[in-house]
Amino acid sequence: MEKVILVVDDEEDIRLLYKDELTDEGYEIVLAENGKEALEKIKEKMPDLITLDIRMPKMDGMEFLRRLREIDRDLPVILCTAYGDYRRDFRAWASDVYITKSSNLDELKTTIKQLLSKQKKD
Amino acid sequence: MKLDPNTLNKLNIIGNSSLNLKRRLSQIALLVTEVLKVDVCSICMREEKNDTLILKATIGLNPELIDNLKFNIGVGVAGLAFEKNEPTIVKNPTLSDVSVFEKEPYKSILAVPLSYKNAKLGVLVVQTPEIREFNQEDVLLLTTLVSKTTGLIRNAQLHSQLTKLSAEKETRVRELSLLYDIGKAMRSTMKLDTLLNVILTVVTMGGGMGFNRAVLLLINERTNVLQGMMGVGPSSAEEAYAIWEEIKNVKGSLINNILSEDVGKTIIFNNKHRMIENNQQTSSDELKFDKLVKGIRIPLDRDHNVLVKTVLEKKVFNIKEGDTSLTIEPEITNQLGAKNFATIPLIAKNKVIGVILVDNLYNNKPILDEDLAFLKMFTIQAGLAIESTQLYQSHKKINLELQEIESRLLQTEKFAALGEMAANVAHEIRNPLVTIGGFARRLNKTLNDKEPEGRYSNIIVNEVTRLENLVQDVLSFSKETPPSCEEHNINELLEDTLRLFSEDFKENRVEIIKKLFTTLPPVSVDSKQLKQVFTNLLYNALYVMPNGGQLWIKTYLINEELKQKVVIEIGDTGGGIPLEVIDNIFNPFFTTKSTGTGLGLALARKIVENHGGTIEVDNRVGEGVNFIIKLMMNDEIKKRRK
Repeated sequence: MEKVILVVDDEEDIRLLYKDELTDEGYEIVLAENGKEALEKIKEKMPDLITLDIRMPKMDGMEFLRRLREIDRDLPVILCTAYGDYRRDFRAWASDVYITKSSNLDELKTTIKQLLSKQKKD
Repeated sequence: MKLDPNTLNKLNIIGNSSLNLKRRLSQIALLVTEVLKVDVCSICMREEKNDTLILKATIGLNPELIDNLKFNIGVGVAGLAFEKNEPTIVKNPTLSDVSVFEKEPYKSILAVPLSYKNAKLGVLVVQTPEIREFNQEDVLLLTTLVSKTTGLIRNAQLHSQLTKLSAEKETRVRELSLLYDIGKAMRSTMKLDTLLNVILTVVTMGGGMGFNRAVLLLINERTNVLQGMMGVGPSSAEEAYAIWEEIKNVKGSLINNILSEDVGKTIIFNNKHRMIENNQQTSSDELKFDKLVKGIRIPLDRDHNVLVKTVLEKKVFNIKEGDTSLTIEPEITNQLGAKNFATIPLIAKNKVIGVILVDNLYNNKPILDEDLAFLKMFTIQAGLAIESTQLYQSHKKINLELQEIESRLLQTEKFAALGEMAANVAHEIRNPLVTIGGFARRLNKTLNDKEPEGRYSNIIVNEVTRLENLVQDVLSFSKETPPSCEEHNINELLEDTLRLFSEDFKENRVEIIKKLFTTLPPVSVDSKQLKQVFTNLLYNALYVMPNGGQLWIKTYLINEELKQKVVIEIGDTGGGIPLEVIDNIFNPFFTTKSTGTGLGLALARKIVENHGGTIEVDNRVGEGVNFIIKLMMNDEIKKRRK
C-alpha cells in the first residue's frame, strides 16, 4: 500500500512541485493550502506523514501543529520553511524535523524515507 | 623787615614762572646771591624717606653735585641749621664743622632752615670765600627773603609730587589697558600653541614688557614633570640688537597689531618680532632656542631646583648673578645661559599650572621688582587663558568622541534596518527559487546533458543553487543569533571542518601543516557557528591556492591584557592580500572572488565577536595571509555575560 503524504503550503507552484516529485517517489499525495484545509483533510483521511509550511494565511503551520498533536502525538511532521529560524520557537520541538526549503528536494526525500521507516518499526 | 620793591618784584616773577621745583630753587638761589651779594648759594631739600638732605639747586658750586650730594641731618652747618631750625653762622669753619660740600675754601657760611607752616622742607646755605661778617641785618634780610620763598617752594614741591603721581597713574592706566588688550588677544584663540606664542611675545617684545627672552613651561600632571613648551627670544646678541633697532621703527601699538587680524589669519609677532603670518619663515636659530626649551623636562620631585620651587611655593624668584641663597642647578644656567633671571608661577584658579622664566641675557638690564609686578599680573591672565584653552581642547575632544559614538550608533541602526530588509527580501526570494530550481531539475531529468536543452536546464539548476546559497548567506549574516554555547575542544572542531576539505586541498596539492596545542582546555562555544568560521577561512585558503602551497593550522594559549586566551591561526601561502583592499576584507558584500557573496569573512568576524573574541589578519603581501582568532577562556566569558 502506498504511503500517504499530506503537503501543506500556501503557494500553488510549490504544491505542484512537491506533488510531482513525491509522486515519482511512489507516494500518494494530498494537498492543502492552509492549516484549516489541512485539518479538514486529515479528518477525511489520516496521512502517514505531513510536510508543513509555516507561514500561511487563515491558520499557520504552528497552530495547525498544535491542533494535530491534540489528535495524534506520533504522526511524523516535517516543517518546511523558507525562513531561517524556528529553532527558537518551542512549539517547533513538537515536530520531528525542520528543513529549509530548497530547489534540491533530495534532503526532503531522504528525510521522508527515514521518518517513514522509523514508523514502520514502531 | 621790609624787602625792597625790586626784590619783591623778582619774587613775583619767580612765583609766576615755571612750577618745576629745581628751576624754582635755582631762581631763588640766584635771587639770594644778588640780594645778599654773595657768590655761592645752595638749597638742600629733605629727602622724604630718611633723615638726609640732598642738594637740589646751587649757584656757584659744581652743578654735577645736584642730586648726588647727600648728608645727614645735624651734619655740618647746613645740617645743624636744619636740625635746630635756626639760622646758623660759622666763620673760618674747621673740618668738624663742615659737611661735605662745605669743604671748599669758604670762610664764612650762613645756613637758614626752610620751613612752611611747621613742616621742615630743607635748608638754604650761602657761602663766601673771604671772611665776611654776616650781621643781624644780613640774617634778618635772608630769613625774611626765605620766608617769602617757602610758599613758592612748597607749591613747586607739591607740583612735582603731583606730576609724579600723575605719571604713575598714567603708567597704571597704560598697564591696565595693555593687560586688557593682551587678555583680548589671548582669548581670541583656543589653540594652545598660538596662545603660548602670544604670551611669550608679549613678554619679550619692546612696548610689552621688554624682557630679552622668555621661556614657558607647563606641568604635565600625568608624569609629574615640568615640561618646556616654548621659548621666545633672539638666540644671539647680534640678533637682539638688530631686532631692537627695528622695533624703534615700528609704528602703532604692537598689541593693536596683534589684534587687528581675525584668528584665522592671526598675525603674531614671532620670535623675530617681525609681522609674519602664522609661524612661517622662522629662522633656524630661533627654532634652536625653542627646540632647546622643548627638550627641558624637570621632574617635580627635584625640590631644590629653582623652577620646581617656583611651582611648589607659588612664589616669584628674582635671581641675580652670584646669588648663593638657592642652588641653581647647572642645567638651567648651562641650557639657558642666563645668570640673571626671574621665574614666575603660572596660576589658574589657585592651582599652579606652569612657570614663566624671563631673562635679560643680552642687554643685561637687571630685572627690577616693578618689572616683575606687572609680569605677575599678566601671568594670572595667562594662566587662566592656558587653562581655558586646555579645557576647550578637552571639551572638543570629548565632543568629537561623542559625535563618533553617535555616528556609529546611527550606522548600527542603519545596518540593523538593512539587515531586516535583507532578511525579508531573502525570504521572499526563496520560495520562487524553490519552484524555478525544482522544476528545472525535473526537466533536467528528462533531457540529455549533451543536447543544448539539457545544457540549458543544467545551467538553470546551477544558477538557482548559487542564488540559494547567496540567500542563505545573507540570512545567516543578518540574523541575530547569540551563540548557544557548550564546552568543546577547539582542536576537534578544527579537525572536523578540515576533514570536509581534505579532498579539495589534496586535489590542489596543498600541504597541510598542523601545530595543535595538545592540552588545549575546552572552551565554551557554539560549535556550529565556530565551524562556520573555520569553513569560511578554509574555503578562502583553498581558493587562493589552486596550484599548491601550504596551509598552516595552529592552536595555542596566550596571556594578553591580563587574560588567558585561546588562539587559532589559519594561514596560507596564497600570495597575500593587496594593500589597497586589506582594509575592506571584513566588510559585508566585499569580495575579490569572481563568484562569491562577500559575506564569508564578515560572518566569521560577526560570529567571533559574538563570542567575545577577536579576529585579525596578518598580511604578508607576496607571500600569504594568516588569520588569527583569539577567544577568551570560560571564566572571562561568564564575567562578560554578567
